[in-house]
Amino acid sequence: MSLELIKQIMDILIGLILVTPFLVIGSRRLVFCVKIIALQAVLLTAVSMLMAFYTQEAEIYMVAGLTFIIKVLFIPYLLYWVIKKIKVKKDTMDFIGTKTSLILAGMLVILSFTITPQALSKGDIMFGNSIPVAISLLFLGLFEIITRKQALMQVIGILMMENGLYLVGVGTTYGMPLVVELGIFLDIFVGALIMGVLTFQINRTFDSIDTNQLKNLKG
Amino acid sequence: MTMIWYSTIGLLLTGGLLSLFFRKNEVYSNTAAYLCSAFAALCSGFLAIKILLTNQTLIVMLPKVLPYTQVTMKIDNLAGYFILVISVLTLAVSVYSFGYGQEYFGKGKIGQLGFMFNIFILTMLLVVTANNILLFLFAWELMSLVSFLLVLYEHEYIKVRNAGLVYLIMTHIGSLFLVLGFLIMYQQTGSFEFDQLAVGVRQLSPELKNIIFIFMLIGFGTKAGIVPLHVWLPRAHPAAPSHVSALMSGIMIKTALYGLIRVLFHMLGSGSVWWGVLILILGVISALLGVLYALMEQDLKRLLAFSSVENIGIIFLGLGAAIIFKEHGTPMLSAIALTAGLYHLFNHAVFKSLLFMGAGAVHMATHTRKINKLGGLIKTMPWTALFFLIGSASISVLPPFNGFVSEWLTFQSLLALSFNISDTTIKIMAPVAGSALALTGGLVAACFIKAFGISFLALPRSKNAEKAREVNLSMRIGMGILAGLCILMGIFPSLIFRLLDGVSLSLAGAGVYGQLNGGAWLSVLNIPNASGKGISMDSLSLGILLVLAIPVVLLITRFIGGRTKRSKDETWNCGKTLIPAMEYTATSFSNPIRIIFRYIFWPSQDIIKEDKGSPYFTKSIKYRSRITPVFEEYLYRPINWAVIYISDKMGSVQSGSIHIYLTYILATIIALLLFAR
Amino acid sequence: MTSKIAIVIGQLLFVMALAPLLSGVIKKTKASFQTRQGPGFLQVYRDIYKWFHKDSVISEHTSWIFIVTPYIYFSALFVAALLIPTFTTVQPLGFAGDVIAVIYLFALGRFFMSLAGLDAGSAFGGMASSREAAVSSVIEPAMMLAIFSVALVVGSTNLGIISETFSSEIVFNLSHILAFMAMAVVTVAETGRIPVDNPDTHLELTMVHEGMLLEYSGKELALMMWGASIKQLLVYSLLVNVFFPIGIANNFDFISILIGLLSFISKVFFVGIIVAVIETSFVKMRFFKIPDLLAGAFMLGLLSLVSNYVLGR
Repeated sequence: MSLELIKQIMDILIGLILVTPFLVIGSRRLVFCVKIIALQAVLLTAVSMLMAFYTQEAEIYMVAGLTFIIKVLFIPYLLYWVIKKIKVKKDTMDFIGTKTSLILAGMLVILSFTITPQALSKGDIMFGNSIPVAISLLFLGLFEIITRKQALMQVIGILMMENGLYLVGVGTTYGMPLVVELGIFLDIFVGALIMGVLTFQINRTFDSIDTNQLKNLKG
Repeated sequence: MTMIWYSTIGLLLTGGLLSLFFRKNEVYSNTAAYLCSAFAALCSGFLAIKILLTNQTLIVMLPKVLPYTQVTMKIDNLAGYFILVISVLTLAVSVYSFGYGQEYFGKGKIGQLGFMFNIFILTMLLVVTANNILLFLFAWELMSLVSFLLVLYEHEYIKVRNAGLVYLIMTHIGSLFLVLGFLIMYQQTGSFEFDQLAVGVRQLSPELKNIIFIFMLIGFGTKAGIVPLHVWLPRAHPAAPSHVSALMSGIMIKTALYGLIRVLFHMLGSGSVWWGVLILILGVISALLGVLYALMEQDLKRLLAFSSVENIGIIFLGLGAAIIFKEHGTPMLSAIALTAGLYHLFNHAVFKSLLFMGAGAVHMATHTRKINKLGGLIKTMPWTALFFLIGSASISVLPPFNGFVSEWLTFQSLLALSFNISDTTIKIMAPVAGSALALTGGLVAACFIKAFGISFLALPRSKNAEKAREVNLSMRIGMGILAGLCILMGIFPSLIFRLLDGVSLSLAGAGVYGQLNGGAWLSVLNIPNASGKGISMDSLSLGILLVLAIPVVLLITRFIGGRTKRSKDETWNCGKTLIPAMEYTATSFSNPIRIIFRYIFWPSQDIIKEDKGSPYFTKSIKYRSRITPVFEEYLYRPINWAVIYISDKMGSVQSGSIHIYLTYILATIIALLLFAR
Repeated sequence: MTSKIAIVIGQLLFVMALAPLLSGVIKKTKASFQTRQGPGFLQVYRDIYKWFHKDSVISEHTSWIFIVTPYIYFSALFVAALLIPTFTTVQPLGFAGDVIAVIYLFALGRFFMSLAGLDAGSAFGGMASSREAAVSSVIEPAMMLAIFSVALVVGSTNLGIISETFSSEIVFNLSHILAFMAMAVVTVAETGRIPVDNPDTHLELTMVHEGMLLEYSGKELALMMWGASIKQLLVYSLLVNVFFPIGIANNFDFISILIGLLSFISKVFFVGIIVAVIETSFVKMRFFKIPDLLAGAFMLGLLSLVSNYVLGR
């Protein structure tokens, strides 16, 4: 495979990754959102494989494998389990409407493209385009957390942010050292676990997973 | 010498720990705590006198424990003088506490009390010896916290808890300003050590010095309790156990004056004349308002606490005059004014502790502090009454007691200010301050006529007062020591002048002791002035004359009148038998002054009358009068309100909603990214 | 040395002997203004002598304070009499105290007298003590300020030195006059005369000083009454010798002492007669108006200071 081809494939993958957050923001169905986040993880795995193929480093293959196991298989499974337990299908509790959310999300993407240093995105580095997309993921993940009331959607936001971080790592350094990646995986693994349980607990306490209800805890 | 210092510290620590160790056995715990503190006081007192007499400086360096912090303690003349005051009081209070501690037996906190008592003394000693900003602030904060805990000793009562809270807040506001002031000094000079700091600070610009001065004045003024920063004092001092109040009022608020003198004279060196003028004005205001509020109090310990505010004001008068003289380059007069202030500081420590101990004894015997519930105690508690009377006479500036000497010196300093300084404002202001001091003196006399006369004389006004019994021997000895000192320091002021000689020499540049005519015993103080004629007062002669006059008067009486008999009968009461309800009360005693100074008190009163069907037959009359606490209502309440209002507004930022917090984060990130681009 | 002791004892005896006569003169003058015959000049002596011989009755509610008070009160005045110049500025014991000491010696007497007033437990004594404490505390600043403004001209608070400075000629300038007026008001207040206090009445609504003495009898009453008249003389001599000490004996020879004695007695009696005139022509003030009067005295003292420093006269 030639370098050009790799670059093109990479651009397509990154473009697809950029689409996924919008799907999440635009959707209200929890199961769908989980599927999207799994899809995003699949795309990330593909990016990692491509990168591993390009650099021919064993470590990156392992990272890609781990990504697949944790982000594509384990976490979505966990979230399915929670959804089944709490018996909530839809997130109908937004602070702002879908349209407004989408517009704001678009603005955040523009923002992340503008703030990315020119030198980085203009191809001096091999996969420069991944950086603004990664920052977009960070922003959109945070945006997701802010605008959604449901604890589960916030977990999805966190995952999205983490994916953004992962993308930055892969895109700029051809993969971080394995130790770091392992640490992050462990983090996200435990994080998702805790948040899953927490969501469950919030539901039990408030009969709802609306995190806005946590305000009642204020003295 | 270093060993004596270490053994002082060691004894205090031992006392505290032993007291905790024996906490199950209250007698042991009590004895261990106060025995150790008494011996520690003897050690430190010995050290202080030695330092004051030989004019040497003791530097104690503790081994380095943490990097960058060399803990040094320096005992120079000024520190020595304060150590002496602390030691004298600690000794008397410790002796007193052997007996007074029994009041708290059976409440299960004797161990903690003894522990904190010892640590409290230790922290005060550390404050006056610290030679380093960090150690000073550390000791200062520790002193505040330990005294806070002591105030909270009887925390079962809501009043005590509130008092503790007010104390904690005020003292930390003060500390804030202190830290700021010291940090400015550190920033400008780059040194934490007082001595190196002093060298650098002297060269600072006047503006910066002014800022430091203001910060220090607010910081130390809060602890000293000058008006309007005094609000904590009448709350916290009465709330603490009496022997602790004796120390708090006697010496803890003086450590603030130590700090102020240390910073103003030792570090800042010369400043501006207005510093002195400001201190003088604050002194006048504190003295007058302190005693006026004291007069309105019906609670013996609160009365004493307000009177502390007044005495701090008098000390401020001396300090202010000393600063003005210093700025005008007249070291001798500055030394006299400084001596007046420091002398009064010692005097106040002695008689205020004595009075607080007396109040403690009264409280122990009658379980009330309300003056209106007391009466007739002079018959059941003759010793306590005598000591309280001596304390009252001393604080009321009566010759030949000690208060008179220091106030006389203060009067003379103020007059010298008017006589020797060419500035017209000061020329007129100083005698007016002097007459304000005279007014204060008159009001203090009224206040303590009330405190002594209503509590100890005439008929008991309650069952508790009737059943009062004289307190135990240790308490009487403790009070007796200080009562003796009141007289001793009154008729032999040269002793104190001798001790203060080195202090004023190092701070103001001249010694006062040389101005005494007639050697060490006959202590005529001649104040030189431009006209060359002296001003003299000899309290020893006054004392001797007063004591001699009494037998002379007895002789005259006998000579003219011969022998006559003295018989006893009822008090004339318009033909009715006198009952306690007919007596004048503390409230009625101070009523004329309440009316005369109504522009300050804003008094209000209501009379509730209940009748039996017809208005001509009264069943009961209730009279209630109160004064408006102006500073609380019109200064602290608005501040309080503003703080709460702002907090409320800030509270709406703090919604408790995760989403809002995250929005803040997002906004911050975006702002930072845009800013950094 | 002997001459010094002679002066001390002589001055003491002089003050103690003259004081009741001054009270007698004032009483007689008042009587003649009221077209009464009145008691003779010597009646006060007779009264004091009579009380000294009476047995005393002490209230059973009182404590030792009540008994020692007359002696302390009298002793304080005794010592004050040694510090205040009367007919001579030569004061062997003048070094022991200045005007501030004198004022606080008065305060010492007053302190114990007020306590004695409270000691018997009757409401009359308590009321009188309370009023005395209130009035005296407002007298003191006015008195201090008036004396300060003179002392600041001289540069000393020692009374002998002040009198000596002004003894050569009558000082007659604005500052001095204002201070004198202030001191005159203070004198009336300090000695408990109308319009501040009425020394001739035992009505509970008006009395201040008398109320505290209500329980006294016999020797103790004699000491208190004699003491009051001595205090009156001392305050008058403070007034005349601080402001117009002309004629006072500066050295210790027969002629100057004679002149000193004559001028002092005539000045003091003149003041006494003026006081009697005031007493007959004014009514007693309402109690709560008294501070206004003394505030006026305070302002006069302040004006005296200001005119001294600002106007220079």
